[in-house]
Amino acid sequence: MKKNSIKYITTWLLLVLANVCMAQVKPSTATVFTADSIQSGNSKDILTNFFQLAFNNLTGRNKEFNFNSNPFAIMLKRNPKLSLDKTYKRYKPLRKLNFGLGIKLDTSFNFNGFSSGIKYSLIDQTDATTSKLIALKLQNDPLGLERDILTDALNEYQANNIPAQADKITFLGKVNKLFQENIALNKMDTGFQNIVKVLVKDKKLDKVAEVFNRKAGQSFKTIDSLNYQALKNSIKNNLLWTIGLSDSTYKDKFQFSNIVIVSELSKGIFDPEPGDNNLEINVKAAYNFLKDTLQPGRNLKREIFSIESGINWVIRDKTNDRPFAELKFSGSYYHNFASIYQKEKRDSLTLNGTLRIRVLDDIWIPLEVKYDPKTGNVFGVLNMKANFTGLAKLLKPKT
Amino acid sequence: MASKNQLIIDMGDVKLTDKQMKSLQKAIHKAVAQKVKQAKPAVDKPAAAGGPPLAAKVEVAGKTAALQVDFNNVDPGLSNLTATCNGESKTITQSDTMSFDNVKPNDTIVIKGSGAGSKTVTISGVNALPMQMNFAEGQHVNGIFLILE
Repeated sequence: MKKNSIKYITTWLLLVLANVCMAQVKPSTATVFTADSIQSGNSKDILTNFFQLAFNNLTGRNKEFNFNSNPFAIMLKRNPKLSLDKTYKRYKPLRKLNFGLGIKLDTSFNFNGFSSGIKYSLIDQTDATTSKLIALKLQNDPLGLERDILTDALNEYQANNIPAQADKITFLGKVNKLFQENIALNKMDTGFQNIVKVLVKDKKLDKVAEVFNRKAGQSFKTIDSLNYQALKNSIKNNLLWTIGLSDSTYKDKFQFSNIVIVSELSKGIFDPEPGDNNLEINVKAAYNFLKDTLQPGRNLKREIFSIESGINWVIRDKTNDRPFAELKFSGSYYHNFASIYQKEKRDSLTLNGTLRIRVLDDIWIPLEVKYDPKTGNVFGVLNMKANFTGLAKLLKPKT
Repeated sequence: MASKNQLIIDMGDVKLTDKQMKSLQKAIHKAVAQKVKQAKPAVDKPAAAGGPPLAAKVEVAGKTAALQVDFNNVDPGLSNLTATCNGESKTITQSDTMSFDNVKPNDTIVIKGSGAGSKTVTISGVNALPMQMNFAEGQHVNGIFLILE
């Protein structure tokens, strides 16, 4: 009976995951959180913008299979109209929320209980879609302001010099193509090029002239995309602070075996150029309620406070600014508020190291090693974290 | 020899007396004069001393063009779009509709703007080319709608 239940749950989870993965192929939702790809794996662990599938503690005794997501991302999958700015704002609390569901497994991959959790971002300054600074920079972009002048000049030119409607259609079609599509001016017909160049010279549009001369092969659309990417980079090191609650149950009864209150903070230290490596401060505090085996029955009387503070070294690919590896060094302090077990100390310290490697675009494998300087014990945890946009790419048929 | 503003009608076999002819001519003259007066462009009163002379204008009714602007994946207030038609400019900072009255064929509506999210501008109420423009996340908005017949 129990085995059947596990099968049903596993099947249900796989169906949900498959549904979500396949749905990501649709362009309407796949392009929603593009900023995700340049975030570090560590910050994705703190707060995922989309979907994350995690296999935690792969080689340990207590394995976990977790699904983390953002409720707004799921709603958006069903109703793309929710992305409209007025609705987008209304769902802000849901956008800042993460929830997780998981199954715990023992060494033989037998069911060992459920886990669940919620997380809320108290401060998220890394989101470009809510950044006033980015909005202001886009609005005052010197190249954009000069293009506004050029648009007016081209409109005036057609009004004064092109009387026939058919010719107006052709001319304005080229104007819209120049500003909106991925085509550079030097790839357009010579007559149109000359008109644009004369107007640029007349109006003294230096930034636009620079694009036509120095970046002759680049379209305005490509330049905008690179500019926006750079602006997103400029805030990726900002503060991200979350608070969360997670729990796990016993395998034979829906009763909590532990509850943890967690708060986590991440912030980039330097302001590097796109593609440069960077350091992130990472602080995680947790208050854990566990079963005290010295007390009779099932209880949550063992209370342990822990705080981990460390530096995460983010190594980025210079060509696309995506992190491909991360190395985190941290120190943890534990304090036990409950009764002490035999040979246990009330306070303890560990030194930790975590190596995260990005094996595919959005699939990370973190290997965590903890060292207790007092006992000399070393123990490791191997995890695997996959962002669903990565899985969607794998599932997408190659064209 | 007939002058430019005379109308000559061939009466064929119809015979009219002098009185009937005069009456017909008077009636035609009156009717034509009335129609000409109605069709004649309204000439503005002479400008005040020192002011520029005002041009004659013909009133031809235009249509109302509506621009539906959708900003996506961004908080309201963090995007902007300005549309200009016949010297009239309207600006919005969140998804909305802008209308321009008396829009005629060969008029244009120029749009400019910016914002972190994606933007879609759709025109309705008139035939225009194009009928919709789309801009990617972070892409600066520049475009011209041409109003067709």
